[in-house]
Amino acid sequence: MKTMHRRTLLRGMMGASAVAVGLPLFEAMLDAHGEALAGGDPLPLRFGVWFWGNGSQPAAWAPAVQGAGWEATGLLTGLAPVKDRINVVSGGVLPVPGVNNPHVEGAVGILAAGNPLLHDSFNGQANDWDFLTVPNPSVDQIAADHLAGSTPFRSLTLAVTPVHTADAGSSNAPGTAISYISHPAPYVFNPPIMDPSELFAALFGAGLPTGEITSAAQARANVLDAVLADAAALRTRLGKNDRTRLDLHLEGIYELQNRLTTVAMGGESCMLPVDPGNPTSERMRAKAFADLVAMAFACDLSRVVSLEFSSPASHVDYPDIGITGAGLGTSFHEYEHQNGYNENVLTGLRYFVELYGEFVAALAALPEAGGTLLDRSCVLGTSDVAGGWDHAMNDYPILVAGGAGGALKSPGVHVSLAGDNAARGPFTCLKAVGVPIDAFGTDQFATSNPVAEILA
Amino acid sequence: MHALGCYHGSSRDDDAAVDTGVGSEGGSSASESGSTGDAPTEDVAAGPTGLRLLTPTQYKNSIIDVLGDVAAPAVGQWRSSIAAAQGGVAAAGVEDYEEAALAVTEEIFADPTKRMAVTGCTPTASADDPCVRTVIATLGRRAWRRPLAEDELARWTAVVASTATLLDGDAWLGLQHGVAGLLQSPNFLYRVELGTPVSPDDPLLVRLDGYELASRLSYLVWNTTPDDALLDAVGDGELDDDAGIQVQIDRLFASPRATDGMVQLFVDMLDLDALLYLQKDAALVPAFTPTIGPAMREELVRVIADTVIEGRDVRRLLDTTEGHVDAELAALYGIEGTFDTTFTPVPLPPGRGGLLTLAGFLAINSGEASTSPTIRGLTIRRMVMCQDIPPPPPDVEADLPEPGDGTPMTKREQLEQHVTDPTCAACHGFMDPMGLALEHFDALGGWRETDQGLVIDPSGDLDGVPFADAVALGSLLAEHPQTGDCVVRNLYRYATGHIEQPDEQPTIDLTYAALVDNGHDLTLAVDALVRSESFRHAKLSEEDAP
Repeated sequence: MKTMHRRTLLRGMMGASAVAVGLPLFEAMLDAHGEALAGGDPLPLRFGVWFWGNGSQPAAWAPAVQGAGWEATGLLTGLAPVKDRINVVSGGVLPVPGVNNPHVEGAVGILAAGNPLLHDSFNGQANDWDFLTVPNPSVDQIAADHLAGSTPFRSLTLAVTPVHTADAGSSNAPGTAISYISHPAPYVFNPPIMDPSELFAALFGAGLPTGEITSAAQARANVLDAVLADAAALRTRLGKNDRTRLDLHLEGIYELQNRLTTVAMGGESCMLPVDPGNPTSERMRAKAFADLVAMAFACDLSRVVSLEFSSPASHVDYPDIGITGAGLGTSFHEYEHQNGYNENVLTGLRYFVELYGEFVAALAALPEAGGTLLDRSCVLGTSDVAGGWDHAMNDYPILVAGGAGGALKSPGVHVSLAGDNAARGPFTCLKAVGVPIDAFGTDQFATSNPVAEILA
Repeated sequence: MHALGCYHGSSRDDDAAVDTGVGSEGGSSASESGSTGDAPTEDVAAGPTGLRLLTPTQYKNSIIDVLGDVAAPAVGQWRSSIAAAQGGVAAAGVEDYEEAALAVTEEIFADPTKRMAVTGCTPTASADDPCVRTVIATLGRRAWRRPLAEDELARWTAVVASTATLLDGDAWLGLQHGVAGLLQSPNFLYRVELGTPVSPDDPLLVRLDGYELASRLSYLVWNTTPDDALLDAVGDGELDDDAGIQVQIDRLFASPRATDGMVQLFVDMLDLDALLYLQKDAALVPAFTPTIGPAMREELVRVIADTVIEGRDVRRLLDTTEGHVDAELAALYGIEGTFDTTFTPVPLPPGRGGLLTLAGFLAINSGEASTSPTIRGLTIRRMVMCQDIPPPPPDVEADLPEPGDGTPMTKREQLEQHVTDPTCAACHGFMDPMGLALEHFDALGGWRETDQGLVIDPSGDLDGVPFADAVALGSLLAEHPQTGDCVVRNLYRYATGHIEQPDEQPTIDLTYAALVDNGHDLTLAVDALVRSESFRHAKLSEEDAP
């Protein structure tokens, strides 16, 4: 068995945030009540973002009734099977500045709670969305800082439909926020896995863990130690901006090293899943991702996921519901702009919420400690705008699912923020899973006020 | 220049360039300085600096030049020099770098013939093995673009020994992992350009050291890591003066590899790597295939390479009459003959001439199914002329209205509002006419005689100068001072990894003057840029000072 790794020491040297070295989740290590690890550490909490592009229909999507008696009808019909596990937060306003592309302002505002940054090379081009990035880490990365521990995958980043552009990273499109939603820092994004088969290979390609570190993995970790030493030496010569960039790179090296030297995983529902392949249907891809994420949580391979069903603006086709270039002549984005909330658009808006519900249901399907994975999770469902037709930012769609270890109301309630800051929704999901922050966001998004009505 | 005042950015006329009085002969620049460490007597304009992440192409080229002929992948997310100077690496990127480093080193070290060709000696697993030390020092110097310090050599030779111990004492495997580690080090993945302060009075102005300067030269001209001869020259102090630098520049340009760097300049400038990801609506553009975008890129690369060799005139890019086609492009262009997967130079068919009429340029500046004269015109202003057009007012619906009664309309007719509404016309007058000149080319760049059965009128004017069609527009742009300025501006950005600030304009001016005074030979503009103080210095921001 390998001894504790030098990375903990290096972290201290780097001044990076300290990380708890978690323990492997052997079933045998659970205490007699099955609710905490034998050492006294609680079972892990999990955090998820399930994101879709182009919002919902303001002043129409939310249930009529507040409190626990809300009904899963209208645009929320698809939530019926998991209704009791969902808190609906309506009526929030996202205080975007209204100077840059609204889809980017909204995505950055709700997920990173700040105003987008413009790349240095922007000088007035029409398509400013290609130059915009987050000012702060995105909510999933804040969660990962606290929750990931020594899990092999600090966070999972997934996308179901093609991201907005293949151009991110080019001289003409150095921005990241129109395409990607998971950001550890400005101009750094986690590229999503888009093929469920690829996610399967990453998580389970080598089978379930054997409890031993292979010599090949030890050799790779040994090399990474020296890479970290190089970086530590270089770091002392750098200015502030480059130090920040290099620190992110170091975080990535730690994560890889962690994966190589993590010895065992487990959990009562952990078992080897079947490779789902890469279904052509986007609904089936979303479902395959949901099942794999649930098993990754069950095996404690990861505790954080960011899933982008579609990127901001929803500039894609949804063939499963007949929204295609060949069928309707255009993408969902253009179609909604041209037609408003007609029946085809409403079908789409219902569909996004239904798939979010299916994701939540996948977590509820796996038992853990007398309940399910969902009992120890918070899954935020939200979008880049409140309404895609006119880029509305009022009555922002915010769904908060799961028990978060008892922190969230169950059965779930519907509460209206009555015009208050919509960023309180994501903040509440972070607080519910125990992320030790007192405030979230910057500028007009900053909040220290979780939505108390949905907290247990 | 026209006075409508829509676009902003640079404007160039040749008089201004001639006024700088910078000639084509080497070593005549008034601002030249002597050996490293001499403080310039006047203010030096230079940009920010620091860590410049390798672009995917630079990564691939550099691996091959460190190890020899291996199947190196192009790894990285930031594909232009400017973006890579600011972009970061997240966890997925770290994994990609590790996987690639292990794969390319395995290709060498698992093969007894290949590994002996690289090492020239047989390693042992002992901690102070001289063979290991030599291999780490030699490959490390190439990879890190400077000699390794003693503590670095000790660290990496120790890694070889300790890794060999983990792997059943296999010294070759240990060495493979050590070399793979050198290629994952930030000293390889980033071009480290930190410089040293020129004078204690101004800690923010730094001069690049000899190795950093060698890296700038090598990536500028060859788009790869410096070769042994260049690193030897630095070690011998030859890059400490202008004459020595000129010897190396001449040597780099004498190699066929010089086109690699110059072509990359245009790939960055025009974002030609977008062709690697080209997508068209298969239902509406049946000629689209997954291979046609990369083929279009290859044609552009070959056409660009023809215009950037020493002694050539770079303006020919805009009005060349020659293309390069494989079977797929020949079919798209309607060129008769027998073609296969190799590229053949061909005279362009009637109606085509110059960059703007090549399929790659047309395809990336179109929608997925239809053309957009506004986007094409905007790209010419922005990317070919370095002029920017402000975005439309926020309350404007940018989507073109569909004809109400289903009557076919040409794009010129649909865009009529851009001419009649003065709010639109102020800017669209600069974009649409050039885009409409390209209407004979569909969303994939194929020729069409008519648009929905209607006659296409490709005539228009460029800032009041009339042209008859796309070929004539290319000729006008080739002679336009602004297009040469734009190439030079992009050369500066590509070389230094940042967008120029106003105080760097004199360096742009002298580089442009060198281009014009030397028959638009781009290699001589590079010479002038390399002689400038801006190329050899950097300015740290207050916040970024170590």
